Amino acid sequence: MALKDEPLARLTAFVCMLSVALTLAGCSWLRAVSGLDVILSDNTSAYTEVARELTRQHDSRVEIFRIDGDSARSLEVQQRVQQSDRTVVVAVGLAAAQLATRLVNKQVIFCQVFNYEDARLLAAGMRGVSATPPVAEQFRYWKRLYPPLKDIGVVTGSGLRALLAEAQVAAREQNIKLVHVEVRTDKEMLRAYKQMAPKVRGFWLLPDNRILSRESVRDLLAFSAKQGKQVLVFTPELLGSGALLSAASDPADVAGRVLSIIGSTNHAEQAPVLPLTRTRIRISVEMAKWLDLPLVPELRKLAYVP
Amino acid sequence: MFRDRTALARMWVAWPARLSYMWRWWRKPSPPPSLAGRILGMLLLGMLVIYLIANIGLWWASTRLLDNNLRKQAVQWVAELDELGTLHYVFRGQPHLAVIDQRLKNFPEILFVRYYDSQGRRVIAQYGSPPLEAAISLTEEQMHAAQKPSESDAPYPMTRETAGSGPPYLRIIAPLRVKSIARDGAAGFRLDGAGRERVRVVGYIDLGLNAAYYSRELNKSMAFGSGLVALLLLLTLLAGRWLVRHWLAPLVALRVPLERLANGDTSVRVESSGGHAEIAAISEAVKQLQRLAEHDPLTGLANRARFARILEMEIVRRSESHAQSALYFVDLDQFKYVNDTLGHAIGDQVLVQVADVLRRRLREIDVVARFGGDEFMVLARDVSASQAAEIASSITHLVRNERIVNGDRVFNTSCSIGVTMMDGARYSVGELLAQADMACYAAKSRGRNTFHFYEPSDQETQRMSSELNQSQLIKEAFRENGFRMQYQPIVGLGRPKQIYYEVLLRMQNQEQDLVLPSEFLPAADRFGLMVDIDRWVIEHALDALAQFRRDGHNIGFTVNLSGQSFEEPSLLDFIQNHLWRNGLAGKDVIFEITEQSAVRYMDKAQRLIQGLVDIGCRFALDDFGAGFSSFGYLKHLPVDIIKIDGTFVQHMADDVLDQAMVRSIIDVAHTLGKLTVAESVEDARTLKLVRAAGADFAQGNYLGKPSEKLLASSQSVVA
Repeated sequence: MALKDEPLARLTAFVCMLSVALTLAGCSWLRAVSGLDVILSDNTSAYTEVARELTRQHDSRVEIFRIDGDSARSLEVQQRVQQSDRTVVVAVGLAAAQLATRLVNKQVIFCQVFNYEDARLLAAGMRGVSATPPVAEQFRYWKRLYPPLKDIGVVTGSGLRALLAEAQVAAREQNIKLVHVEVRTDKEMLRAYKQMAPKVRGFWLLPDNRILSRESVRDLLAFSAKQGKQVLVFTPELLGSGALLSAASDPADVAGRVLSIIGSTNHAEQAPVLPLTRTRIRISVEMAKWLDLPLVPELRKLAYVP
Repeated sequence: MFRDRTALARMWVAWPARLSYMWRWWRKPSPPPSLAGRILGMLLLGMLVIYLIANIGLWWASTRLLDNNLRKQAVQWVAELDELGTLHYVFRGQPHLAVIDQRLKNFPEILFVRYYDSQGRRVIAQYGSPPLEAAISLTEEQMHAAQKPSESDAPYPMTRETAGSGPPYLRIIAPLRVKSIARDGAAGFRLDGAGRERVRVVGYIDLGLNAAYYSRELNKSMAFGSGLVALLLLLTLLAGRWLVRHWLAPLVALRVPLERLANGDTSVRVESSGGHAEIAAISEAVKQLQRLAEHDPLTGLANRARFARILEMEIVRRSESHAQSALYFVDLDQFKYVNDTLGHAIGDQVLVQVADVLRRRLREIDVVARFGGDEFMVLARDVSASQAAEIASSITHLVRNERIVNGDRVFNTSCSIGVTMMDGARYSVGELLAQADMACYAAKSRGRNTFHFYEPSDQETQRMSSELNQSQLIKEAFRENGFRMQYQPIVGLGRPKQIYYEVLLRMQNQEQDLVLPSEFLPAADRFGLMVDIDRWVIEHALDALAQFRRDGHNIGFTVNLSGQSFEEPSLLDFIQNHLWRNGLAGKDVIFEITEQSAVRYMDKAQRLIQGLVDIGCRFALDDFGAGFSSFGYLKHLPVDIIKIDGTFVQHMADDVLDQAMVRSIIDVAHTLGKLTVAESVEDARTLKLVRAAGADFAQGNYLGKPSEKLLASSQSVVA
């Protein structure tokens, strides 16, 4: 055959080679995924629902491991995941994420980890999804519920810089002054909220387990109800104990954000911890009545039903 | 007072008698308490018991409650101090202590508070004044015990400690814990969930509570409460007292009517109580008693007391009108014979039938009464003298014709009637009764089975009138101090130191002459004045005896008692009082009663005699042998002395029979252990005879005539 058609052939060959080169260049971090390994810290619904959503949303095989705080089991899971031919691991919960830091040549995405800064997960090369629903949306709903809201207080343990930065921005957007106090124990937490009570209208209770105990949370909610303070909590389970509204993450949103990281081709431009996009807001009608807060129809749809 | 040694000696002698009297008075059974008093006493006792129980129970319960509360309060304090003190572990004893200082200042029961580090070795902060003996650091056992779950209600161990001389205090050592949720992000957090929490002990609280503070407060409260309870109980007692008295008032109100009724006053009125079944029953019984007290139980007729009252009212009625009424004294003839021969049952039947006869004959407005025995009184109202005579005649006729059947025997009886007319209020009840009595006496004198109208000119009437006058004189003698006492010695034969005087009563008449008892005592007896006379004699005799003793006469008195005095229940106390008042011993007085009185009033005489014997008095049986002499009586009567009737002694010198009588009486008396007195010793021969017969004492004009003066102290007729 004569190379009378040689220019076209050359062009085709060039394009193919270019495509292959570009493809190989673009997937230097993430090789082709044939499935997911999901490690759950335990069988808490906050973890299992995310795993379920991952399974539902991901079109490849998802294998789920659970460590349940058992060290022997952790070792076993670690070995199995390490030996697995799947390269992507999703760690749900802090214990799973800490286990995942010992994996080699795996790409790990963590989610449902509140205090990833303290655990130094990002330093281990992981990426993650925020455990906290968008603060801006939380404050927006709060402001809609109570437009005169001017100042709120939050007490946390050490760290949580990113979250607090996000919160300050969100507060400014809503013209709210956010008062932050750092403590070390549950008793200090309770005392701090009580001390700031005269200065703020509401309390924002974050799920910082280091400074929370059942006793202190119970006392805080009782105190706030007595003092007429509005409390934004992290789980609707606390709405029956004196909290006004709750903001929880949506497991589908968490799973979606995890999968978006997995499916993304430009990771360099992404934040190391991807924020969530949705918030599940619930409002306690009884506390609203107690605090003389009228519920417009739009907010009434968010009434908490146990 | 004590210059006269004799007087002093007499005073000391009199004291034993006084003490003896007082001792007997103290031992005398006191009168029973009133029902209201008993109920109130029980109420008071009950209140006291309740008060004591309430106080003791309150104190015990309060102490336990206090202890429990202290422990509970300690737990609350620990919880609060836990929260307040948390920052000590953050800031290591910086400004927060001031907050605790201010907080605890208001609670003085908190003795001290210490915060220890987690090893229990170092005190981070301290408040108050811990006892010096309290160790600076905690022991392992204390820390272990504080962390160990408590098996009691208290979450922490509590110990009661005493530091030296300080107050006891309650000590609690509790761990200060901080907790945190185990799971990151508080995933799945629930307040009622079983999620794991991490617990860490960061230190210890050492708390001392001053138990004594509460005890002091409790004691103050107890004292106040106790006082309040006592006041309430007192008010309740007062209210109860009022209520009891109010409820028992109807019962108490019955006391006076009952007493008056017991004393023979049947004019009492008994009100119904209303509302109290028992008191109403008693009132009804009292009314029944009153009815019985005013009526003769055998015949159902009015009795003497009732009739006297009716008569009293009739006199008033007569004073307001010109009409007349007639008073009849109906006395059955020979009734004693019927009783003695046919028996008391037949006698009662006769009385009942006669009562029926009288009722049938008289009108509704008339009154028939039984005066006792076989005597009836009739009051016919608004009748003239002729009508009164006609009534009297028909009564005698009806009684005479009344057949009394006793088995197969039939007999009749008759009556004598005395009639007196009542017009105006000229005469008193007593005088009218006396007039009717006199007229009846006259009817009996005229042969019985007839009637007689009272005429002041009748001889018998005059005699009875004389007695009536005597009674008036006796009453006047009481008023005008017209009685006199004379003393006749009773001399011991062969007992030179023993000399007694019999107290003899005389009455001064209007001419200032002294009247002998034989002249006025029958009237006194008839008109019920003997008891008053006896009392007058006892009182004045004992006064005189005491005076004689003070004057140096070591004598005793014998005082006569009438039979009517045996029926006087207060006589014994009267005699006791006067003995005591005069400082005399019972043995200084001998009471004389006649043999006839003793026999007639045997039961009552025994009681009075025994009562006087119990206080040391002695008794002499006077005129022994004059009546129905029976040595058997001597065995039953507690008499010490027999006074042989003068009729045996007077003629002893000329009559051997009298001598034998006297000797036999003396022998029997001595055999029975009694002393003897020979009365009416008028001469030396008689004296010699009675002494030879063995008489212990002699009395008579020969030994001393009655006189208002005593014999000279050195005189003795005993050879």
